[in-house]
Amino acid sequence: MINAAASDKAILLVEDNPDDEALTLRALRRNNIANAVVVARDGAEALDWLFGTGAYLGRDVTVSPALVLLDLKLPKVDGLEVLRRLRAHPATRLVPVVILTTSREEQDRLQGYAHGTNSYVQKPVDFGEFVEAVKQVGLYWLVLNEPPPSTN
Amino acid sequence: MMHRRPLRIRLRVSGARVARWWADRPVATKGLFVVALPLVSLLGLLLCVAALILVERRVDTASTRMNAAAEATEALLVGLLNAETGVRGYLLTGDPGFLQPYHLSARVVSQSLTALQILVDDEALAVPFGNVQRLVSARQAQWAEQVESRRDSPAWSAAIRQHLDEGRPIMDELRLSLADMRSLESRRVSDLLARRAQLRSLQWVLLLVGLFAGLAGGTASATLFLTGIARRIKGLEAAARDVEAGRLPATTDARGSDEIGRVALALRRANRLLRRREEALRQSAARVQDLYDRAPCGYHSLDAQGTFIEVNQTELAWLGRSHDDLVGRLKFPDILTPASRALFAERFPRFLREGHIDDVEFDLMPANGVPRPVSLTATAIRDAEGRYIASRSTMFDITERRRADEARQVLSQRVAAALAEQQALNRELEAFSYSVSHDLRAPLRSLDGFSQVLLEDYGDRLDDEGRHYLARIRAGAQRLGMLIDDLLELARVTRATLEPRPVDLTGLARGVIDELTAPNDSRRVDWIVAEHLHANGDRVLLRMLLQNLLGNAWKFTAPAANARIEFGAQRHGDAQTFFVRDNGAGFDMQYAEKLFGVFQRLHTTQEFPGTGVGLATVQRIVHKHGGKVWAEGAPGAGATFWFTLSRDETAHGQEHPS
Repeated sequence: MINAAASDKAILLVEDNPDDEALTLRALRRNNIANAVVVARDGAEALDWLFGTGAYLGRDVTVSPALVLLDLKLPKVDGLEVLRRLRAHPATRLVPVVILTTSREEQDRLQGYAHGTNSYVQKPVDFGEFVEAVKQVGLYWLVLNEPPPSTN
Repeated sequence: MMHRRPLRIRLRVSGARVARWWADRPVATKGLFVVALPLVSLLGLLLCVAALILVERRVDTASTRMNAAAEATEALLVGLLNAETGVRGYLLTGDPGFLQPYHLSARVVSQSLTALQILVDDEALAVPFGNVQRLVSARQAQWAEQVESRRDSPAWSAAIRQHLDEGRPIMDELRLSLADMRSLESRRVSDLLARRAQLRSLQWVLLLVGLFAGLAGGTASATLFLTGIARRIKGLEAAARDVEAGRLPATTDARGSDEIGRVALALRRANRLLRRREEALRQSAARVQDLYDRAPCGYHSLDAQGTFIEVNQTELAWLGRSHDDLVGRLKFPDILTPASRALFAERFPRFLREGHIDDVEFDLMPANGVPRPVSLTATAIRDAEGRYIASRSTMFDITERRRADEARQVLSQRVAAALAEQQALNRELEAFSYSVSHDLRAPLRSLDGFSQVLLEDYGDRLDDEGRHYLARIRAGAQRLGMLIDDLLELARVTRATLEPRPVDLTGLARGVIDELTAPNDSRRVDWIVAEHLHANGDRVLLRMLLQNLLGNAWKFTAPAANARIEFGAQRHGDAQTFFVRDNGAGFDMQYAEKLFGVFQRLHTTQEFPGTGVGLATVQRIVHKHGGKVWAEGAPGAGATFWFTLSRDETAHGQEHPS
């Protein structure tokens, strides 16, 4: 019962830590989430991919991701700024964003929601718990949740 | 002499009494007396004269009666002589014609006798009149007998001759008696006339004397009365003039209690009152002057040019100048430092316009050359048309205030610096916490994650020992993760700003207990939570506190057979000391000090899991609320953690090692 529209679209994983990237990808795989995963290693790269600029110049930006997994602490442009610009842009303002970060700081949670994140999930240290968290997020946002009507 | 003295004393006493009585009469009564006195004497005189006139009238009546009596006596005599003549003629002639006068006179005689009977009321006349009556009766009887006898014997006879002589003695006697009466009557009349004349003259004398006495007495008493009144009024006038002139005589001539006496008395009392008021006023003025002069602030008044009109001693002492130096000579700017002079030049015209100046600081320049800072407040005194008359200025010495201000400024600079430093530290700590939160946990996840990956993907190529080591790597990573979480929480508590409000601790504790027991309902713990525990504090931090204390109790009672955890409070007046008591593993009191230190643990992680940060967090929270926390316990006998949540409560708190 995988949502056809959602399963076709890519997941944008914004993550600078290669270990976390590997573990997240493994967790996604382990949970049978078949969507393509685009990895951006800093905020600038994420924005380039989203808006078809820089290295991703010419990308068909009408194809927006099914889900953005966004780390907060990123080189160049931080996660909150990525979120802000993403929400400011008409093409991406409705894209589901889940902040997936190590931080549990109150201010991060507050800022995340203030900038329009849909969810905030802390990455647990325990890998078992981490896999479980990624599974829950994938299940919810890619399967259970009805995405907003497509604008294209 | 011996028995006359008391009489004199009595007279004198009564005289004084009368004098006093007289003095106490109202002036109108006295005036009435003075007017009435001659009137009364005149009235008496008139009464006397009237009495005299009455007496005179009686004398007149008496003399008229006497005259009438004399006439009647005369008529009687004539009547008798006529009758005698008639009877004699008849006897001689026998001619009854001679009897006519006899018959005629009978009536005259009877009438005269009746008249005399009425008129004679005098003792002296009564005797001869009695004789006359007897003799007349006797003679009339003779006459009747003689006339009878002659009628019986018409011829002359010796008997008749005898008859002629027999009446003579009676007639002679009658004549004598009538003469007596006549003489008595005439003497009486002349007496009465003489008396009347006497009365007349007496009347004149009385009238003259009375008039003179009345007039003279009236004039004299009126004069005395008026001069007396005038003298006393003059005395009053003099006293009133004294009062008018401001002299307040202690005494005023005020004999008696008539109107003048009462006016004098009132004047005396008014004087006394005025003297008292004057004294009170003088004292009050002295007090006010003293207040003005010795008040612990400077007072002065300036005219429209800024010249001193008045200044008090305190201000003069500040300036080291005399009253005469300033008043009417110097202007306020003359006693100021140059900077203050400029300020005055700017503010004074505004003051004249607006009528007040509030708390403006000037520097006085006293004679000794050491400036004195003052704060000046003034209001303008204006006349009915709103024209400025003078200022009421008050100055306070603000040397101390300025010194304190400077000290405060230095202090506040230091505080600001300390605060800035503190804020910088806090920011640093925040940044540190933030990066710890982000960066320190990521490698742990790698350690744990890749160990797990290793186990999953390559587990079959490792022996049991290899898998055991990987499990220990994972356990270490997870424990370090917990430590980091607890440390971050402790740091968050440290940074948190307190938001105190009333908190229901009983409800909070029940929530925490539910959280603890929900995932593990196999354990049997006897929870005892006191009702209605309230405190003023930060709800989030207090929840964290209870989570730690109740969580500890839960943890350390795990091996106990009859676990029992109690949350309650002991009251000390309004203050409360809360406690969390358990019958778990307990601790040795010699390590009590170490309990609240970071990373301090009294048990191994094998016995009881934990990071050693929880009680440090508890202590941080309690200290943030101004309270204290301490613990009691013994190995195997459970532990009790006491805490207070405000400074007031620690005042009643028990002795404790915290």
